[in-house]
Amino acid sequence: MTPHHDEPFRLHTPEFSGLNQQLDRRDFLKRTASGLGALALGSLLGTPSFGATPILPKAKRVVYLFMAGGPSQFETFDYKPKLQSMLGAALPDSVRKGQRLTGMSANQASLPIAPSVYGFKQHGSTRTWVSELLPYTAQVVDELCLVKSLYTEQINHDPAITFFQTGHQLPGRPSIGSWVSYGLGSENQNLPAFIVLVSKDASKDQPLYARLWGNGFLPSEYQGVQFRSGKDPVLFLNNPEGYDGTDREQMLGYLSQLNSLQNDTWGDPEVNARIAQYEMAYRMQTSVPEVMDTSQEPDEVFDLYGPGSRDKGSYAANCLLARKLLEKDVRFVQLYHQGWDHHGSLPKGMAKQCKQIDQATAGLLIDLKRRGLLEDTLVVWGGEFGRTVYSQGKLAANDYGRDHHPRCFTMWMAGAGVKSGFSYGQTDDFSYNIVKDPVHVHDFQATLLHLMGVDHEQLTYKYQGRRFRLTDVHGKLVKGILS
Amino acid sequence: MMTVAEYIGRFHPLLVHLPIGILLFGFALMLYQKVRKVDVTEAISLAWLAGAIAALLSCGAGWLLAQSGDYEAEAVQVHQWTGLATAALSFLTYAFAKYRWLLASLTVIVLTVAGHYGGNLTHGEGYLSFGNRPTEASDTTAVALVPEVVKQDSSVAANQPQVRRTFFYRDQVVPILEKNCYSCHSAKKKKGGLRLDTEAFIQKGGKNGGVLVAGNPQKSKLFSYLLLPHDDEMHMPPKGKRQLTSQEVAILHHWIAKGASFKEEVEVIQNQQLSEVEASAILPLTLPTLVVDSAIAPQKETSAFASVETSILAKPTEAPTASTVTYFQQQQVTLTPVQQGTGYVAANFVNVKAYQPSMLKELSRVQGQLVRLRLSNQPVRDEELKPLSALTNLNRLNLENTQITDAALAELKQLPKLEQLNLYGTAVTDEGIQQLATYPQLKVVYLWKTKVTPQGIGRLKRAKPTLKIEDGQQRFTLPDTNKTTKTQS
Repeated sequence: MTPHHDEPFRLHTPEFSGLNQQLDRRDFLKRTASGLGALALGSLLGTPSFGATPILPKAKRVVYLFMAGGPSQFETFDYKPKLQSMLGAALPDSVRKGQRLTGMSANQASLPIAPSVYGFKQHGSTRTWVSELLPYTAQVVDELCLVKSLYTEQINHDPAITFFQTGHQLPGRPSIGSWVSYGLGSENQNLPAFIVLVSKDASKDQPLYARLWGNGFLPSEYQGVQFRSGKDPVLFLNNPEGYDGTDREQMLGYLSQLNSLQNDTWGDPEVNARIAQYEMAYRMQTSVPEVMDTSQEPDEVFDLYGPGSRDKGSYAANCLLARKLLEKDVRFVQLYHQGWDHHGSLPKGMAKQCKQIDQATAGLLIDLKRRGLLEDTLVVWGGEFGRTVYSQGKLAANDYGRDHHPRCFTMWMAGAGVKSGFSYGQTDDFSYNIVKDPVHVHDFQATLLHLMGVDHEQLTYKYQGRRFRLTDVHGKLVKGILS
Repeated sequence: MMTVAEYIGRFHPLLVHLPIGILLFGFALMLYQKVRKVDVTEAISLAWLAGAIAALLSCGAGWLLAQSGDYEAEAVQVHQWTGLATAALSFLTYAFAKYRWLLASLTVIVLTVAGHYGGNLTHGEGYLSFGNRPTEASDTTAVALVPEVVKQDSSVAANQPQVRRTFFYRDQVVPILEKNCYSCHSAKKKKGGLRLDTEAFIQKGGKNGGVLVAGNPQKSKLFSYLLLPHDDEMHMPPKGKRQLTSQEVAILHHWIAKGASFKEEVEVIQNQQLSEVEASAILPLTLPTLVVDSAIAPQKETSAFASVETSILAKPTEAPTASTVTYFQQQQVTLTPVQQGTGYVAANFVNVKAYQPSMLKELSRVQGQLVRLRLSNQPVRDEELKPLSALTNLNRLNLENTQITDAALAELKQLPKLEQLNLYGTAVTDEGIQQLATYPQLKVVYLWKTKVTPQGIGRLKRAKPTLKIEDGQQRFTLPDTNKTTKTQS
């Protein structure tokens, strides 16, 4: 150890003193007003809590299985037997009511009704209808809280996903996971509070962008950290070659001193965020390889998640990984599976997609349950919108496509704080409009935060002169699904 | 259902401030002109015209408000006529510039009278009177609650029966209603069609039905609305008004629970009982915490294990001190609040790299506050769990993948509030788990990957049928791998 590293680092030039005095009011305010992140600890020390009426958190962790592309509700959970006799009939105007369609099918000469080619059966003690494409999910249906009446305002992928993840259709706001990690902090000091897993085994016809798990205007330590399946699960985490741990620690210590100095001068919260991230990265050098290593898992576990689970980076392997992360008390795991956008050849596409996720999803639920994690973990499954009852393009007996449909679609939740073996909301016979208990995207987000013990109206961040929330100025709690 | 007219009427108390302000300003301008000798005649005219129009509008809104029936017609009379006079006079002041000084002075006088009576309607009579406001202190009520024991004759032998008179309604309830409720629910003003100033009116209730169910405070809106969350629309008294003290709430609860009698109670009591009676009547009455819980959250928390936990959290407790939090932080034990705003905490050992048995001893620092404890995957041994028996509020305990055995289960029997126990991946056996049947509150237990057999679980189930046992035995049945066919049922 070289002695000069231990001396306090000071600059005594006139220019620097001048800079010190220029700490303007805005930076000062920003510095004093921000930093709610340590709320978990802060509230123990007597700082006021947010939320007028405190909510008892039911969920300590969330795993959000995002089916990007918009999975069809007709071939999964929303059983519409009356359509079987209406194959090829035109969608009645009384149902469509002139509502907008996307540019892809708006100019179609007709809108022929396409019933699901896949059959449904009743499962579980609740006799819930589930498609034959999801034979494993059907076996855990008693754990699920199906919400059949989700609706969104967005009709195209990117704005719809952005809307779901950030509460606004335009990019730039923090993702749900960032809000949660900012509001509640992390119980595990060695792993990020918000971790993202993108599955490789899916067609990537609709891209995902890192901003979907971005921190927006929140300090950058709250952004989602993507874990990859290759040699380096987190990029740029390992030491450069020929550089050992002690060197690294020393270097980081010195860098942290420099950063603290910078922070004292400017009071920019981003400097703090940077310090926190360096420290986290250093701890992750040991914690990440440990948690990513599934070689110690018994065969029985791989069998539970299905054949894909040994193939690193697949959806099934990611589900297994998600369980390991939740076991380590990671606050929010966001898992993506792409390729649900079936404008054509839907029967074939849905069969393939469902097969990829079915067993692993059900396996994850069983695995969480037997480990006692399901009681305080919320599992969410769903896409960004639903699909139309009419066929996009040519309708054949066994082949059809479905266009985007934002006015109703199905999601499910399971675990902490939601009713199990329960269906909420109802669509009409065409699954075109909602007839009972509509749930807006903001309502879903408000409910998710509520389950984590946060009042969605109170978790705010002031940026550019206004206070922002995940639910913007909307969102009501869906009380009907709370257990 | 509120009509549009009624809705507009509600703006009257707001609108009246316009004519008051404008007309007084007009008068002020006149004084200004006189003193400073500047010509602002035009501004004066404008002020009087604007004020007159505003006064007219206020009169209109006021008339609509009076129609709502919330106000006693008699009480409205004076205010109504002085109000109309103000409007008329201010028009005259505007129109006859020649007599402006006389008319303006008249207007100001009439305006003051109208304003005063209006204020009385809104805030209740006596709002402005200085000395004789209802007493805030509870001294008088405290004295009155002690029943009046009248010895019929001092010369009578000591064991003669005596008479006890209590008039709880007159002495206890009325003062509370008078102080907190009459301003909106009495002869002057009957919000929601409700008056609380006589027995008949209290029994009758308001537009939406009765407010009093004798013997059942929970079902009596007269009581239950007091306990709604403050931001609830139905909470009484409304946000911003003086709220009842818990002592006053307790008195109302006591009165309704005892049958809500409006009469004087006269009891004949034996002399030897006297001391008991006096003892029971001593203030302060305490409001049982249970009453508050059930009234605030009457329909929630139906799930199996929420009840004990919520009752723990309902009792206030001190939060751990900063030094305690820091201490555990240094040990890498994460301490988090179970719920914002309470002092109860959860301790999590997920970050602990080098577990020491002494760490469990140190949990005595949060002995009363610890509700959840997560020791998962730490090399914890049976004998090290001894300090846990002091954790009287421990509700969830995670011991999965630790080194505990059946011996630990005998130790944990002491925990009076334990509802969830995770034992998966430990060496507990069929014999050991039978002790779980004697746990007082246990609702859920996890037993996957233990030495427990289905027979052992069966025995435990018979001994404690309410216990939810998760044995991790759920297996998939393999789906038919043949080509999925179109099935309908």
